[in-house]
Amino acid sequence: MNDHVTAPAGPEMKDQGFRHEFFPYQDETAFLDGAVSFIKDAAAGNETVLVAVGATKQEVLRQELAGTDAAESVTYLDAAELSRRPGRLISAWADRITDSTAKGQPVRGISESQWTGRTPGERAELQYHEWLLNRAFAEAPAWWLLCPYDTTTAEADVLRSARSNHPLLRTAQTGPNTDYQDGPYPFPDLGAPCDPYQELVFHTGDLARVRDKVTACAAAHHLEPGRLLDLLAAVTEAAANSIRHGGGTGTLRTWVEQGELVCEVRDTGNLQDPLAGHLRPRHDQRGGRGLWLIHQLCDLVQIRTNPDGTTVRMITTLG
Amino acid sequence: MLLVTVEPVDMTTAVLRISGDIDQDTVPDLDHAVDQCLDSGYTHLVIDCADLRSCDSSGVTALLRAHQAASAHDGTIKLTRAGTVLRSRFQLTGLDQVLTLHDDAAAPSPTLLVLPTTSDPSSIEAQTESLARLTAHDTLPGAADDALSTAAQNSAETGAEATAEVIGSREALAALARTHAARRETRRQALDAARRRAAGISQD
Repeated sequence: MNDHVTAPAGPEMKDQGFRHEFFPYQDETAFLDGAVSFIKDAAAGNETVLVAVGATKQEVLRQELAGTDAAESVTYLDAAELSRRPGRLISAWADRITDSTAKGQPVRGISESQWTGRTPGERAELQYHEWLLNRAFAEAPAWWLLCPYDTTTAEADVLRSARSNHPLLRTAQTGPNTDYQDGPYPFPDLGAPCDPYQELVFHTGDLARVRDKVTACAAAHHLEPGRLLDLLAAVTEAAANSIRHGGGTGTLRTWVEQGELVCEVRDTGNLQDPLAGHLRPRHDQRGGRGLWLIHQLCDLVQIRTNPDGTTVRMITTLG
Repeated sequence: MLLVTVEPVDMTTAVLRISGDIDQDTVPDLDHAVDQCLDSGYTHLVIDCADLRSCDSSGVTALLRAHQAASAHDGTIKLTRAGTVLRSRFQLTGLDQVLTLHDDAAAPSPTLLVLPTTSDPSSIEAQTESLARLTAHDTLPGAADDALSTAAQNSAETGAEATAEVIGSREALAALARTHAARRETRRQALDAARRRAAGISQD
């Protein structure tokens, strides 16, 4: 277990890498007590504070902090947007903490994911990406993320995953979370393609055919041209990965399910690095941009990999 | 499918007009065109993206590769006329931090030369002035003299050859490259002499 997980709570921990903390609360008072003391501690230590909570809570926090020194330290982020695109969650935080941590200034965040209105697929990916934050920032300097969960309104599976995904737990004080599951991550099954689906087996030289297939399918469902271009780019990246890393061939399947156009690319390759595509590529790096682009261009991306192969589902909301 | 048209502009500058989709399947065509240009002495490449429909991550990597190769030849790569979607892709992948994206309504950009296709004296004159600016910042008489001789030599070439377009044909591109390489060597020596003189003058 990492040192920072068993270390005691307090400002002296601020230089000890990434701290990812589950903060269950029962009512607004408990939320405010926890959040405000967290922010004031941060401000007292001259730390950068980023807050991504729903609009109502943001307003309450602003009022609570008004007139204090701490108010100046806080930057508010769009929590709905962060939750809507789980595949971009890690890079979104990384982009925002990099400047501060590079200057040696610790960062604290408060992130309350917005679960209302999420589709089952989005919810599963959001839960996974909250867990993946632990891996993404394992080596990060001085970065402490507090994740509040309202135990009176959150659904059972959301609370269950929150308990498993955070190494630290804040109750009366911060301590190790004995329910934390370090991994491997228990992915939910993606389920079979919805019948009927279209299928194309592709090989080297077939990327244009892959795009034609997706174009035909999208046209049948009146996907607007701009979004089609994004989808074509994403599917091209996935298919190119299959050809390059997945044995020179792959299978494209497309179908529509519950108002979503699903493009699935499946191959026999194995994706070794779960963080691939989650961090903004360095501008001068060779390669390594394909999965990044897929995450940036699609509404939702589901990736499952095991020794038998890799499946990438790119989901576009229709209408 | 990718179509690459190479259009020489002056002895070191060429416009590559790319149409279609750059992806893993078509990247070798782009690589080849860039390599041929650089090997032939066209070290300043203007990549005209007006007809480029899409560019995937392997295309971005190829453009970075082209940038590094051109830099190794003391050259440059400019991207012009990329549409909104392409620009956003280039920004997402960080390519815009390495390569400059130009808005020019038409490539080549106004600072680049357009070779005369006839022996019209006025156009030779105009070209000479531009060339002098490009090579010696138009204050250096020695360089301008050399530029004048280069321009005269240029205009003596047939217009057809000077503006030859090679559409998607590697063989034809190679032939063009060979033809130009010999001419270019002569010109380069003249220009190098001009630049050396220019450097000497500015140090004095």
